[in-house]
Amino acid sequence: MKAPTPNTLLARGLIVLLMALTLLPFLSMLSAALAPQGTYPNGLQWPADPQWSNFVKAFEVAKMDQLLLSSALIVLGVVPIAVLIATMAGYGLAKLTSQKYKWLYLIFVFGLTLPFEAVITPLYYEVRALGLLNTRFAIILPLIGLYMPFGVYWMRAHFLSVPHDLTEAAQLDGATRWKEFVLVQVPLARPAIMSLTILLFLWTWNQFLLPVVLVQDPMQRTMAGALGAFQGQWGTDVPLLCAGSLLILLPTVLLFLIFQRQFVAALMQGAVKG
Amino acid sequence: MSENTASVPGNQRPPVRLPPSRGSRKATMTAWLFIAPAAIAYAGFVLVPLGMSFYYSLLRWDGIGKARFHGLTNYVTVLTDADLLQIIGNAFQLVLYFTLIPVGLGLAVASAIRGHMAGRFGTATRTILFLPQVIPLVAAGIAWSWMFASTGLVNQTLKAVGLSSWARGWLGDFTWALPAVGIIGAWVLLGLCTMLLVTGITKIDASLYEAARLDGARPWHEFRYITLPGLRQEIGVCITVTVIAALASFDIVYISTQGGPGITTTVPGLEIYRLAFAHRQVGLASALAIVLMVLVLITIAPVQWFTRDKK
Amino acid sequence: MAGLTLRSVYKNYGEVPVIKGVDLDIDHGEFVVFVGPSGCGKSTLLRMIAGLEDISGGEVSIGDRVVNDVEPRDRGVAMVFQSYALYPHMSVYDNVGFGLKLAGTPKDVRDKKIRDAAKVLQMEHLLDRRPAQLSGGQRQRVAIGRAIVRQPDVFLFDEPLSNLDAALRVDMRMELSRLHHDLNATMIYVTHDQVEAMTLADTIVVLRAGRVEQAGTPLSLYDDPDNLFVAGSIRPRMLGRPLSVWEPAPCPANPLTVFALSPTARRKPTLPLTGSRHAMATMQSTPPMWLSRWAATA
Repeated sequence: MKAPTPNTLLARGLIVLLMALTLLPFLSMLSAALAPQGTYPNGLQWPADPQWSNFVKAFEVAKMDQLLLSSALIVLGVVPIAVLIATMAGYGLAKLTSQKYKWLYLIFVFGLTLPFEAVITPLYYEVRALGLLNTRFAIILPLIGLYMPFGVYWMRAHFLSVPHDLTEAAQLDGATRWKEFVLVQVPLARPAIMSLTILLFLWTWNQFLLPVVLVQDPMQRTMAGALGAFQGQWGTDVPLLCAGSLLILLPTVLLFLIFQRQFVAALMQGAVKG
Repeated sequence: MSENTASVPGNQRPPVRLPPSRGSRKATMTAWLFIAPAAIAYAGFVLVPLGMSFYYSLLRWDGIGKARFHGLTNYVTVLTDADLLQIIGNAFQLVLYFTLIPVGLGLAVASAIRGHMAGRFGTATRTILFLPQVIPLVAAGIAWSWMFASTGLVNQTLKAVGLSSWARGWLGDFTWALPAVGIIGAWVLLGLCTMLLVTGITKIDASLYEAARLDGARPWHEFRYITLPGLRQEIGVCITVTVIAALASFDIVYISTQGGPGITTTVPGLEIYRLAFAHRQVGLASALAIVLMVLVLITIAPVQWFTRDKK
Repeated sequence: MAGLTLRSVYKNYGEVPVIKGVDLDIDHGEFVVFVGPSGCGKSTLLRMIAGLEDISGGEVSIGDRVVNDVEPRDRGVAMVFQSYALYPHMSVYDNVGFGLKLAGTPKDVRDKKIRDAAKVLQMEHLLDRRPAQLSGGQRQRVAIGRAIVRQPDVFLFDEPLSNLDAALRVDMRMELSRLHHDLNATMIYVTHDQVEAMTLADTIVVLRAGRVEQAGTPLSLYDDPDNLFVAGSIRPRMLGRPLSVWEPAPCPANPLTVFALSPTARRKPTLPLTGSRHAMATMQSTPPMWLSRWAATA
C-alpha cells in the first residue's frame, strides 16, 4: 500500500462527508425519538432527558410483535418459493433449451424494467376476483410473479457459467435431469441462490405499494406497509413517529450488520445484473 | 463462484465447438417442466395484469359499474392534459436529482480514491453507505420529512450559519418540494452508486494512468480518457437503476408529500394509484400505467445501448 | 461387455453436415483411437456414442442393442472429459461414487468399489479432498476412477490428457494402457496427438471432415497409408527419420509439405511399438526414458 497522497486524503475526506450525510437522518430521527412525547422537538438536539420509553410506547402502539410476525409470514411465503421456481427456470433456460427458445427468456427479461405501478390496478381486481383481498396472499402471490424476471435472469446467468461438461458427466453417471439439478447444480449455485435470497428478502420486507393497495389491515401487511399506516395515525406526534420508524427499520438493519459482506455483495451484483 | 468451478480449468478448446444438440421431444418436455412454475407465476401476476392494464386503458370505467369502450381517448388525455403532463414532467425532473447527484458524487469519490477501500475503513464505509439501500424507502421518507420539517435539521443548520431567511417548510413549498423529494432519492441511491463506481475503478489497469501521465496527460485528461471510458459499464448500471427509481417512484413521495403541495410533487406512480382507487378512473389510470412502462423502456434502452460492453 | 457398431452414421447441425456417413465395427475389448485435425468430427462422433448428441441418421449399437434413442445414462458407457468435469462441491470419494449412488448401490458395496478403484489408481490418500485441492494429474485420476467404478461396457475418452504437461501425459498413457489390459473393456479414445494414438491404439481411425479416411492397426496405417492425409496424421514429425525419430526434430510448419519433399520419405521407418498391448510389453522391458523423450518432441 502506498502512503496517502493529498489526493487520497481528499478522497477520504469526501467519503467521510458522504458517510456523515448518510448517517445524519438516522441521528436526527433518534434525537427526535428521545424527545418528550407530544412536544415538537428541534432538529438534531440531544434531549436533556432522553425518553427511551418512547420506543416501548411505539412498540406497543404499532403492535410491533404482530407486525414482525406478519412480515415474517409474508417473507416465508414469498422467498423460498420464488427462489426455488426461479432457480428451476434459470436452469431450464440455461441448460435444457436450445437457441430456439431464446424468445421465452426474452419474455422474462422484458419484465425487468416493469414498474410495479404498471400492473397494480389490474392486480387489485385479479386479487379481488380470487377472493384474496386483505389477506397476506394478496401480497405473497403477486410478489412471486413480479420477482420472476429478476430471479430467472439472475439464476440463468449463473447456470450459463457452469461448464456444460458437468451436466454431461452427471448424465453419464446416470442422473436424471431432476437428480442432476438437485445433487449437482443446486449445491454449485449456492452463492447465487444466497444472493437472490437476500435481495428478495429485502425487497419483500420493504415492499410498500402492494400492501398499501391490496391489504387494508396493517396487521396483515409488511413492515414497510404498516409504517405507512402508522404514519397516517401518528404523523403529528414526531417523537412517537420517529421511534416507530426506527423500530421498523431495525430488523433489516440488524440482519444487514450481521451479514454485511453478503448483503453488500448481493446488492452490488443485483444492481449490475439487474 | 470462481472457487467452485476451479476444478474445470479454462481449457484451450477451440471456441468453434458447436453447442450440444439434443432436441428430442422428451428433453423439451423436461425443460418445460422446469420452466413452467416460474412461467405460470410470471404469466399470472405480470403478463395477464399487463394485458388487462392495456385492455382497461381502452375503457371508460369506474371500477364498479359498466365499462364503455373508449378507444384511445385515455391516451390522448394522458398526452395532452396539462396536469398529467406536469406529473410526467415531475418524474423526469426527479431523474435529474436521483441520477445526476449520485453518479456525479460517486464519480468524484471514485476518481479521487482510485483504489481499493481495504481494511476497517473500507468495511465501515461500505456498511454505512449501504444502509439506505437496506431500509424501507418509507423509512427514508419519514426520516427526511423530519429533516425537512420547519424545525428540522436542515433549517436548524441554515439558521446556525446565518441563513435564517432560507429556512422554510421545504416539503410544503411550491418551488422547493420537488427538489427536496429529489434529495431524498439521491440520498438513498448515493451509497450504491459510489460503491459501484469505486469498485469499478479498481478494475481499470493502473498502468493506463501511468502511461497517460508519461504522455503528458493532466488529471482532467486522465478522467476524461481513462476513467470515464473504463467505467462505462458501471455508469450505465448506475444510470439504469437510478432512472428507474426516479420514473417509477412511489414510496418516497407517498410518505413525504403525498404529491403536494398542489401537484408539484405528484409522480405517475402516485397518480395511477390515486386515479384508480380514489377517483375511480380505472381507464385513465391504466393508460397512464402503460405510458409509464413505455417511458421507462425508451429511457433505459439508449442507456443500455451506449454503455453495453462492446466486444 | 460389448462391442460397438456404427452404421452409416450422420450428424447435421441444422443444415451443416458434421458427420457424413461413418461405418465402424469395434470389437469387445478393443482400444480404438479417433485421430484427426480439429473440426474433423472426432469428438462429435464420440459424443454421439455417449448419447450427448442426437444422431441425425444411421444407427449406433452397443452390444446388440441399437441405442439411438437410449438416454446416455442407460447406454452402459462411461466418459472421461478433457476438462475432467469433476463435481467441485463433492469430495473425491463422492465424485467417484456418485454414479453408484444414483444407481442405488448399497452403501457397503459402493464403499468397496470406490476404495478398489482408488487403489487401482493409487489415489487412496486423496479420497477426502475436493477437486480444487488436486493437481491436474490427480484430477485426471479421479475422472478415470469415476469411470471405472461403474464397470461400463464401453469407456469413452475425450482428449483426456491434453490438459496435462508432457511428463504426466507419458505416465497417464502407460496407466491407461495398463487399465485397458486389466479391465479388458472396450475403449474409445479421441485425440489429436499422434503419439497417443500410436502408443495406445489397437485400431486407429483417421477422420477428416466427418468421414473415416482410413481405419486399421497403427502399424498398417503407418506402413501403408492410403493417402497423404493419413500419413500426415500418423507420422508428421518423424517422416523419413527412421531411428532418429527420438531426437528432437525441427518442427515443420506443414508436415505434409515435408512429407512430399523429403527425399527419404519412401523409406520405411521401423516402429518399435504399436497397440496398447505391444506398448505394455515394450514398456515393461524398456525404461520409459525413450518414451518421454519421444513425447517431448511430439
